[in-house]
Amino acid sequence: MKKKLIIFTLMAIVSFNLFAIDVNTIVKNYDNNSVFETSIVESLIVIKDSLGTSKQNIKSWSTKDGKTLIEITDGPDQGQKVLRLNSSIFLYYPEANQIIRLQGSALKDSFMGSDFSYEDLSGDDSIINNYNATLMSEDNSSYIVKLQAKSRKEPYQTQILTIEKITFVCTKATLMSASGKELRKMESSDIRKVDDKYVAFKVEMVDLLKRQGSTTLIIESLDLQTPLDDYLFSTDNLSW
Amino acid sequence: MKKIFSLCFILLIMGSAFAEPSIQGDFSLNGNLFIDNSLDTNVSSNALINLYLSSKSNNVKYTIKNATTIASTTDVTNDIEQAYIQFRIPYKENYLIFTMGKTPLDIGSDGLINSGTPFYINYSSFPSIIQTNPWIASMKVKLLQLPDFKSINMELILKLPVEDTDSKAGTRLTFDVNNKYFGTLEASFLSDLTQSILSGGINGTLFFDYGIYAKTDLQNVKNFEASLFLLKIISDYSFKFEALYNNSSKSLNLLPSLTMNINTKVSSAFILSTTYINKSFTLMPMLSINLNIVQGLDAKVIYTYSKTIKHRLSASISHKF
Repeated sequence: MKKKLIIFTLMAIVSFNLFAIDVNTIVKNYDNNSVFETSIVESLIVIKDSLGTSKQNIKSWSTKDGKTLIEITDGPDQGQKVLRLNSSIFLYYPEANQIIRLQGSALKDSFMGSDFSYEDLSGDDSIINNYNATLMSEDNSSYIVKLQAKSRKEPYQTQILTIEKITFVCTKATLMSASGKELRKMESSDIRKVDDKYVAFKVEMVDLLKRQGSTTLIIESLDLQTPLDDYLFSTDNLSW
Repeated sequence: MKKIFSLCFILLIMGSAFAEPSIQGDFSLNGNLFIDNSLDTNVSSNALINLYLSSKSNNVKYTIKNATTIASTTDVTNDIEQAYIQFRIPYKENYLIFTMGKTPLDIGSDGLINSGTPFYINYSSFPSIIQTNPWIASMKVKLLQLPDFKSINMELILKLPVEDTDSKAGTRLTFDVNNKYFGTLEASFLSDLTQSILSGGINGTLFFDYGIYAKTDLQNVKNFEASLFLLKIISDYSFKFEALYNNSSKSLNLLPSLTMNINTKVSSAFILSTTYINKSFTLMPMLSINLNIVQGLDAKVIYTYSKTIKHRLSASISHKF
């Protein structure tokens, strides 16, 4: 009886290890799902605070290597554009017909008064390239993964992500500073399959450094097929 | 004035042939209260309507921006701030960009005072902070595209003799370095033979976002200006420092400012304008509070003190449409 129990226990351990997934695979699957060769997204940003709600429509174009162009297509800041190239951000104000270059800490600034930073909406989203990951826990539906930045340049030095087991979409994230202070919380929902990727069409971000309020980004259309020309990400095109 | 309206109308017709226009604008009511040392008060008020009409298609865009100030039933002034059309044609994997009309050219830094623009040179002790946009015809071409978004561009510029201004012709060269410390290097030369202005500058990031610009009149090189622009944004605080030295008037203007976003609706700014001329300083502090009441509706209160105007309290309410 004792021998049977030992064999059963050994089999259980072996089979558990056969089906268990290591954290690098989780992160790789997450990256494969969330990093697109190219994307063209039209979305609505709803900003809520103590004094009311404001809305802006944006269109963004991005590539796998982090180049991003965002244009505000409707709302009070209509016509303003944001271009992200490497670690620089260029802002275009149509009324002044002028481009302003921001760098460094400015990447952490709020995008158009929302709870998203410029960094949140642009740049290289890859985890494998920028973070070391550890698996904290898991349940039937999700993995809880802790990310530690490989370099000081990352705006969030620590992240705790809840990643869905089936879709490998991040449904919850807590984004923290080097000291462990919580900076932003993100929740995503309305997960849909587009081509071979699962994408959350609704993302709510809360900037925890602000007293109250939240920002919801709702994707209205998503195109992952159209190739994008490099000229799209030039400062000449930005001022067009 | 009639000619300018006709030109704007032609631009509008040309532009309309290509794309649907978008109209934006704002309306503001402004009030000023002046109190001098003897506590005598003087009140003035006006209404300002800004209209911004623009349209763009793949290769053509135009913009008209008009400001109307109504101080009384008889005192109505109209100022066309921008009226230009741009079109671009494909050229060697890039575009040739043509511009015609009254337009702000992105020469120099994003400062209130800078020596980047080569269209004129100041001879007064105080810089003309609000500069009128020039009427130009220009063509911009990318001479060389390098890896990592680096490029060298050339712009041929003809300044047109509209609104009683002089005409000049010249060129502008820019080198977009776009690395960790340097943004754009630029040099411009504009001449009408009696006055030839050479200007140059660099911007980038070295802890601060910075811009350093200088220009001189080649016929009289002692007439030169140099300006510095520094900007640092840390969370909800934005610090800006601007300086302008004018050698012909031996004057130095300093403009430090601190802007703070108190929350998403309220922001405040403190600016200390300082002028040094003839071994004496003149200070002009200014404090403003801006309240975003609802989306598109803003209220602003500004307090300014100076030796000449003494105390000035301005309040305005504006609505975007």
